[in-house]
Amino acid sequence: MFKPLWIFAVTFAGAGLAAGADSGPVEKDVAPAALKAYAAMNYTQAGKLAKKIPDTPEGQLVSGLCDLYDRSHQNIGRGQQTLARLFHNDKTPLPCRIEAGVALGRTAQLMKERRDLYGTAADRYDHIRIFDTVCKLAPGSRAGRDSFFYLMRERLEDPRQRDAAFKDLEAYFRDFKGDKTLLPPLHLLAEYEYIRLRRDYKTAVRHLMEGYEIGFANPNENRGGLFRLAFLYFKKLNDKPMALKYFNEYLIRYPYSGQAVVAKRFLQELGEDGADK
Amino acid sequence: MKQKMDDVQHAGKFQKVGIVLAIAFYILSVIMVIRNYGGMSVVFDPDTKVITIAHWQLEDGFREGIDAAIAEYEKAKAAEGVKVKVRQIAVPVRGYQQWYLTQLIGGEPADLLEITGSSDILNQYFTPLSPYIGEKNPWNKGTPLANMSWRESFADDMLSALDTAYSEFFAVCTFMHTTRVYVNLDLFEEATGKKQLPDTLTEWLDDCKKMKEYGIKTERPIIPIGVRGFDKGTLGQLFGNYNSQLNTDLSDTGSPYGYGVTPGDLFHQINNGELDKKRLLEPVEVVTELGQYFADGFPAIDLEQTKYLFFSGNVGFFIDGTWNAFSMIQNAPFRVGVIQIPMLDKKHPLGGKAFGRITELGSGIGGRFGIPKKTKQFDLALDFLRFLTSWKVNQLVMVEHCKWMSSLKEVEYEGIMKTFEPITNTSRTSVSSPFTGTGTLANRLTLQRLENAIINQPKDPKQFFWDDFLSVRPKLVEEVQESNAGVLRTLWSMDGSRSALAIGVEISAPGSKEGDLYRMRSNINLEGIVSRFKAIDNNVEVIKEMEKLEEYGKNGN
Repeated sequence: MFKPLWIFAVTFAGAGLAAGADSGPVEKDVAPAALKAYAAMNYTQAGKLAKKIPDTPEGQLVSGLCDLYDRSHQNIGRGQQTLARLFHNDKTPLPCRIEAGVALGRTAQLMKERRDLYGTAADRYDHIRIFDTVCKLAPGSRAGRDSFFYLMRERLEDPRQRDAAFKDLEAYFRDFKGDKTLLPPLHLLAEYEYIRLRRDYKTAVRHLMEGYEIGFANPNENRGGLFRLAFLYFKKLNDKPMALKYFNEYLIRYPYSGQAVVAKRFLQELGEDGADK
Repeated sequence: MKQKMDDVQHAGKFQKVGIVLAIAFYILSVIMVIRNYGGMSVVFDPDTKVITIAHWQLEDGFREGIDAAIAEYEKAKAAEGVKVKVRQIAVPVRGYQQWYLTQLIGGEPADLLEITGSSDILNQYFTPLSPYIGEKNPWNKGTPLANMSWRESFADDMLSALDTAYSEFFAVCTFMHTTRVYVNLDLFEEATGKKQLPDTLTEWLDDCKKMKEYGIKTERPIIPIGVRGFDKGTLGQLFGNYNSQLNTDLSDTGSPYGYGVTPGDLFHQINNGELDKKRLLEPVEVVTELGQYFADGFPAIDLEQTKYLFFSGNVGFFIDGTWNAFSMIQNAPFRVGVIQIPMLDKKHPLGGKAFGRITELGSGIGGRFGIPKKTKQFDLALDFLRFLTSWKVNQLVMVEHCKWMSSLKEVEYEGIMKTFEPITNTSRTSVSSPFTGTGTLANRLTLQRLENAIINQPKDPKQFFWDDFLSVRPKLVEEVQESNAGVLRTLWSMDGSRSALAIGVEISAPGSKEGDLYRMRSNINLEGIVSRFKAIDNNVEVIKEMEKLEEYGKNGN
């Protein structure tokens, strides 16, 4: 009698272990694994893991985000509803709530910009209020910066809001208490919009210089930004000492770039005209 | 009965032959499997690590160069006590895309792949390399690049390898190319009676004329300029080059945002009467003039046929990238010279306004290799990729074997390769024509229009070109509108990246390297969105200005 029972016991234990192995990480590890897979943009794995923890904020967040961004299983309506529930619930842990808000606000904003495709489907979400709330919930944070960035572009596009938007932009930089390395993309936007909408080269160059001094993350932007800085000082502001400084810096940093030959030509022109302002 | 016995004996013999053949095939199969897997040392030595590198470069010298690098690498690793075997797979370019996707989807791809395809494919299947590019390349020890990071060791600081949609480096570049004119020196000297190769457009046109006359006199089917007419590649190269030589100065003043100019800026200047449209049409005149010396049936001649015609000795000048230089020089039964595309000079009617040659610095860098996520030997694959892009080995593969230029800094070239080096003795950069710069359809229609101008040789090629350009304007506007929809779609994808990177920042330990990388990529992503806003505004501007353009002889003249 003993042997068959032992065989049964071992078989069931083995089956149990096998089932356990199939189910992947144990419950407490599922949420971090889902978030990690999502961060790696492995939507298939992230979505699968999120389905195992549907009652947790992390599971709901990852499911909602996969619904929006996983183009192989996209369900925008469902994703936005999930994120809206998370965002409007005060009890949602703050990091989940904030990310739900930014993603909901941005996708609603993009859908409103493409009414030919989405019609009024996103009108139920007030993306401006959502972005404003994120900015208040997480001032000086990455999410706050992103929300402000998206709002700013929209407000600058509207002639009635433009002046106020430029004032708010300057106030944002002045009052910013967070990590300064978050600011270069906003400086880049400010540089572009000051030229596009006001041809205000002085302010545009100030923003470009501040962004460059902190450092753009994209090496291409860092290189282009440095050349632009020198160029704008030279051709638009007629500030020769600053143009000389930045063209020389460009040649030291990027001697192999295509624009190095142009920098040399401009330096010659600056030399011929004299370096005095 | 005897007959029956004979039949049985015959059948027995056939069976034996069959068995012997089956055994022979079996042994042959085993040998082939062992050989393909890396040889006996790999199959019977479980300690040997095997990686595979795959690409589509079948040009002369490339495979041999990679083989030489592999031999060096295996030797270097053996000296470290690591048994390594690297296999090379070369797939023809026409089938590469399907093969590559099948490998990636199948889940067992080569460990290093020459990459192609969309950003989405790269993001899905390839390992992000940003964590490694800031580190020094250990294989650069004792070389002029020893103190540079891996990224800084590339001539373009790896900018050609950056995927802007995902703010990530999924590959690194291995070589660099420029466009040159290959000359049949024997034919050139016979036909023109001189040794000095043309440096200016006037000289080139004159030499072509002499070649044509020489063909008539000697009753040989001489083609002064061989072109890839079928894909219109050469037309594009010539048009782009002469457009830049004539209009590069527009980059200094054309844009309110900085150096460089967009099609929208140029059309705006035409509509405002600030720029004569004829200026932008002058390159049409140059290419139409050169077109007299193409083969009669040039629109039907592809690259391989052009090469064949060149090797047959009946083509004087052949324009192509330096990727074909080695095979052109090596395989031609005559002496081959290499020159830069001749420069517009003061003797030419349009040369008075030209700015000379354009720099090629920082362009033409390619041959991107990445590491699939599914590789089982990531560390080794990364190490081999660093080895391949180290100063000595990259020169061994590219310069010594392929006669291609290296993608790295501090590389010196000798002999014929000196003529391949990017042009640097100029202060001017290329500028794109507004006729080709608004999209792929616009580019294709421009080249078709140039082809028509060459075939029909109209009295005023500029007017012919402009009239045809205006006739297709609705299609061009539609293309720009579609391009804007594409940018908006990209913005959605980029928000997906933003979201993933934000979560990455959130789950990383404060101060960790992983967290720093997520933060950096998150900023790259947002900086990229500013570029997309600019693209949208440019597209809106170009549509508005394109619709205002008037008939030839009206605004902008």
